[in-house]
Amino acid sequence: MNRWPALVAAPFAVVAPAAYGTVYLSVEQAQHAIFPGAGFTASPLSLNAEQRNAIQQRADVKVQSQELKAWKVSDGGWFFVDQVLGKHELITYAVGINANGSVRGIEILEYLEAYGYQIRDAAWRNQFAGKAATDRLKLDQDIRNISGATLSCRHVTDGVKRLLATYEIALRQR
Amino acid sequence: MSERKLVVASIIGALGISSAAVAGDSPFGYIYTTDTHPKGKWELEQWVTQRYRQSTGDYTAWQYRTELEYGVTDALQTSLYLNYNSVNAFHNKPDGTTGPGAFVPDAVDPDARYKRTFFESVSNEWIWRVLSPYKDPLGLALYIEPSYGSQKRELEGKIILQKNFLDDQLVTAVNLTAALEREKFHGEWEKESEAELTAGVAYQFAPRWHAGLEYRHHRGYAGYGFGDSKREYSANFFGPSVHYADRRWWVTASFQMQLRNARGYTDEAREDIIGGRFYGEHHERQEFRVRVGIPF
Repeated sequence: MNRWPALVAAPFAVVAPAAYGTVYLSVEQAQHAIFPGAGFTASPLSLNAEQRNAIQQRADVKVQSQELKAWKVSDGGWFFVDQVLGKHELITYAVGINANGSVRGIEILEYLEAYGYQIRDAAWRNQFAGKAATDRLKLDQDIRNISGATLSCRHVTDGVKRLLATYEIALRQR
Repeated sequence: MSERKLVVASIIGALGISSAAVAGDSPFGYIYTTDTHPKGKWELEQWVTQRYRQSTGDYTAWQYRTELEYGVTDALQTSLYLNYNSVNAFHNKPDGTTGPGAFVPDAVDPDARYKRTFFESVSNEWIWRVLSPYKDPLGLALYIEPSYGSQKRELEGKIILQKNFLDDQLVTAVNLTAALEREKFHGEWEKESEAELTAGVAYQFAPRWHAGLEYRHHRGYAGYGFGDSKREYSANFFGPSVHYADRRWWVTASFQMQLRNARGYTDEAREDIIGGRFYGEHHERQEFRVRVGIPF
């Protein structure tokens, strides 16, 4: 009897790793983490082709979706919930932007990959506080990378850059 | 429990308790990317390659590799492989006999079917990522892998290049490979060298899914060295790949067809070219590979 097929599969039977992938914050929790005590008015954004092209050109990041989940904050700022692609799964994150166009803070709402979850660390996220659309927002330059989480760091950084450009082009005048 | 049920139960059991998504997986079956496993993380992989059809008769070879992979640092990865094969050949030589070569030994009954399963070698692979495609203009990794077996020994090196586009949804990679081999054939150790250029493109068309194309140009040389005077043959392969990965496991399936543009540079090699395809030195008409990985 040929035992080789069983031997091929047998190593997998002894592997018993842990599960990863978690929803960390709801939208409401992220809103109050970034803008404590503020009120929020849902104001979803639909970008036209001209705005989309302008954002892509300014941020040098592709706009994957013309629809954006956005809330107007009672203090004049804006709150966004967005998604970027990790290695295999989508990363859901939130960005709060002050009325002056600078980043108030970012939060990771949902992270489904096993590796790279260090982007939730406050020390890494706090790097974005105060950043504006005129800043470089580039890994290993003004944003420190996390070794072993480079892809997640890169895509979230690009996402924040895109949202800053979106604010400047589509929302600053509102 | 029957053999089949044991296999299925093992795989299902492993997948059911398996872990999170991967870092060092590749969307290609034959091409390496510069992604490496994070520091301190492990992964178990199983490779199965079916090599199918020579110029005539029946020929199928199965190559199995069980791999344990470990991230030494975020940029340095090592793996240990167990390599084992099986072959089923009948009247596979151009003259219609069951003949030696490609896992079939010399002393084989030329009119009988030959079947064999055997352990070939162990391999120890090291991959060092020098540049990251996510931060640098180009990803670059260096690879070395010695293999040791009772009938075959090999030292293989690669230069791995990767460039991504479209926010990393489009992955392109090129591998330059050189290998020095010693294989026992006709009772004697024979030295040979191989060089390979592989290139591929894969597109992430949905979360978790990649579809791609892979090309391989393979050259064989007599003895150690890569000069024109040592050249024996060249063969080309091309085909699609598909890759799925989620937080628990990943799988890549790749099909390669040998193109009809093989070249022979010696009389022996030219005799092994039938219909434009080279059937010597472990070359078949088509290959199908599946790789499964479970990180832990």
